[in-house]
Amino acid sequence: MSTADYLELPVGLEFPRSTFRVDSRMIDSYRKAVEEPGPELWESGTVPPMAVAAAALGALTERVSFPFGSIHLTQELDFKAPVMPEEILTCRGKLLRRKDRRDIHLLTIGVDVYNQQEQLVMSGKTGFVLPRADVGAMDRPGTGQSYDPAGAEP
Amino acid sequence: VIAPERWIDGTALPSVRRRISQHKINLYAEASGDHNPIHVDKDYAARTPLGGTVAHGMMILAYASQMLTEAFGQWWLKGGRLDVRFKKPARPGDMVTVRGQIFGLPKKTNGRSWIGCRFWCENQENENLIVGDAFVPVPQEVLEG
Repeated sequence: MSTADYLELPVGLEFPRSTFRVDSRMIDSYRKAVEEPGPELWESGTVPPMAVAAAALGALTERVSFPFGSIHLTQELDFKAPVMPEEILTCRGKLLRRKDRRDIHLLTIGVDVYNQQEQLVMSGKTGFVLPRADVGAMDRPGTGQSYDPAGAEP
Repeated sequence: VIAPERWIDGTALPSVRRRISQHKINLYAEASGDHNPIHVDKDYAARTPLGGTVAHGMMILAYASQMLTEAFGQWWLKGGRLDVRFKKPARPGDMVTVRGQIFGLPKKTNGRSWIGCRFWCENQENENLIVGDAFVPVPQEVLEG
């Protein structure tokens, strides 16, 4: 699967759509990973909202190659409608904003997820801090010590 | 589930505690499709400034969603909003606790009423890993009781 390099991404770029099924295996892995209570505790039987978000962002990261040192800094999520198991969803991503600073890049990527009826089920904005290619990740102070680089506001 | 009469400023949400393990991180990588080696490759991660693997931020955020499910049940599962900032990574062995509280009174926007909550995920050293706000939509008739 082809991926885009983050340095080449112009603002407004729409990533290729990704389609995925929120199947029982994915939900089972998700539930075990986060110790989510089973569906018997839920009246609706819907997929956990954050499982939908996980799958959507996973689909997005398949489309963009981020270098080591990239930090997931902020996240907005707006769950518009419930998702049922086995639904097929389509993820559309778009580069909303990009700021280049002395030693970092700040990217904001918008994500919209639709069901097969073309109903918007989730919308989100993801903020990433990326290292400049000419600054060695191993040399950057603070890497791993804090996710909150001074002044980093995507 | 918190009863509607307690949807008032300052009401604490039921906290959620989870122990992070590499096995859970690997399961989350499988579920999300995010197999970044900083999460799943111990040898690789050990050679980075992080010094070891870290959990996906979204995995920790899932605990906040669980707290909201416990607090608001179907109202959260039917839809809602999160706005968060990731502050520090969680590592295998860490004990993560999510806490939160309702702030203000329910607000009506675009024909829907929303309960605002402030929450934070902290590790065993009381360091904030994630801080954020959540907004849970509730029908006006439930608010008016």
